[in-house]
Amino acid sequence: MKPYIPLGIYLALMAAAFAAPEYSKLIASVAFFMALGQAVNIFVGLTRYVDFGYVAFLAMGAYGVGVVLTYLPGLGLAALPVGIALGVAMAAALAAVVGAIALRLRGAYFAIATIGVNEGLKHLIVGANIWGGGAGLILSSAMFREFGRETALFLSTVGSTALILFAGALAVVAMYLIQSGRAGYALAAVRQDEDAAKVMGINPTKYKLLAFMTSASLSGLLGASYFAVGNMQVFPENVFFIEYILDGMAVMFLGGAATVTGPIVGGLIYYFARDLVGQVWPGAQALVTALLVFIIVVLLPRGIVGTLRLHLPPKAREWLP
Amino acid sequence: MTLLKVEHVVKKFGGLRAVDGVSFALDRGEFLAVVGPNGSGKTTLLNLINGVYKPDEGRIFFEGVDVTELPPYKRARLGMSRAFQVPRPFPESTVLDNVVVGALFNGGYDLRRAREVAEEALRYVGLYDKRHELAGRLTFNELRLLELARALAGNPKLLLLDEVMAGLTPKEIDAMVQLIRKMAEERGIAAISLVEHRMRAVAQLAHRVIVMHQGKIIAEGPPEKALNDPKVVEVYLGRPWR
Repeated sequence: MKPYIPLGIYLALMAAAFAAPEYSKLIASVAFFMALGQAVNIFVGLTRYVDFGYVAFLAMGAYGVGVVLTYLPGLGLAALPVGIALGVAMAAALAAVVGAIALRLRGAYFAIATIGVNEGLKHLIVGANIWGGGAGLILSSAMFREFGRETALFLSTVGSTALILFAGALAVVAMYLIQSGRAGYALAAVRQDEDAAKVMGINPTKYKLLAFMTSASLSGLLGASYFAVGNMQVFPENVFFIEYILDGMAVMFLGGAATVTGPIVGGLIYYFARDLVGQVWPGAQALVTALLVFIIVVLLPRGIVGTLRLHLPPKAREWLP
Repeated sequence: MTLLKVEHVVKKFGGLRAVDGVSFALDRGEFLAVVGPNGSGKTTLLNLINGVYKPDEGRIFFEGVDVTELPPYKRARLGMSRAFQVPRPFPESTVLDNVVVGALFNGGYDLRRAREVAEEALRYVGLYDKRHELAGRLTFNELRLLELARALAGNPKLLLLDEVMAGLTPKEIDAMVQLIRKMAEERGIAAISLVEHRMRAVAQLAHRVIVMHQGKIIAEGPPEKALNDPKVVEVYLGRPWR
């Protein structure tokens, strides 16, 4: 398996964002879907578990940056890495807690057990009025103060785009490391026959938890980059918006679950399909994209890249992971 | 040299004594066939040996260590591998990757060594040419061989084979039995194979046969002798063998 093509695409998009800042928002919108699909893929694709509480990881990332900027003034530019680190750590910690309890459950039971995590956390923040409560955190003035106006504006445009692309590229590297090591073999065995895997000496919960925490951390980075840095605000209604997990899974299935290049192809198609529908029939995006995903899952269950890989000779398959 | 020693084990299910005071010893590299009609206690005996059940009475020793109280995964790590009656491959992984899993987790090899061990195991069972195929595309006979390769890659001292001959053609059975015997002789891997049908294969190639009936051993010895024992002929075969 050679990760150079997907990594190259992220790097090329990053170069484009710096070279043509006027397109940086467009690149960010497409890259958000790509990186989200990439992160979701590490958990859902590798374990075939579905987590309906997944969006909470995006929210944790966004709140990490929001909380540091709002409640820890005076850090200057260091507020950005500190905030991102806090957000990623909160996402990973949440995944560790939820995973240690719920990952022992099989498939559908896990999905049901996690359904409340996202809504529960949102209502905790709104109801207990912590971290800005229902009004959310507006970060623009804090960002101007900490970073300076020019730098803050640059960070919220090109900087945010670069961070989103970095999250996607990091997910490619993580996927590559998992897939080419012991964990990849263990996860492949567990998702195909958990009982047989156990008899062969594999601890299923350990490897599922590894995939879950990796996926959650990357989504934390993505949430921080897209909402907090990119939009300069963190609203509970936005960051806990449950549809993002559906978007992430749609991108993953379009491209091909458990493939590395899949989410890039899936993200491109998903974004432009939604965009096209939005222009022709405003407001019907969710309906049409749902139909698109339905057709793909029924007719091409391996997704575009997954199906393509099936027909490639082994040498070429190495290059299209 | 003794690898496994079973001492007077008893397993009761309610009022039924499924295994009723069985004792025997197995040497390194010995291929033992446990023969008996359905319900004679063979599978229960196998489950007692690898720890799926704990005996109500008696002890089991593996390499001189009392393993009677150890759970199955710990016995697996001591060097017992089990091949199931119905093969359970990972169908969407390649044949090679299936065997690598056995080498990595059951055998405890690192990734590089695991790939070498897996390729060697596949050569050994004759599936090397199919190593890049998906396991789901193999025939039933090939799945049996894959199951054997997976167990072999785990570097076992004792292979427990649960009716692995069932459903194969006579020719495939011959090849399978030859292979198990070759593993026993070349690698010193002992094997206990349960056999309900197909006496021909057993008689030809096992080193020793134990015949079970109603939870007890009724005959033991080289195949010719054990299977021609008058008691065995009476309760199991119904007529003199051959």
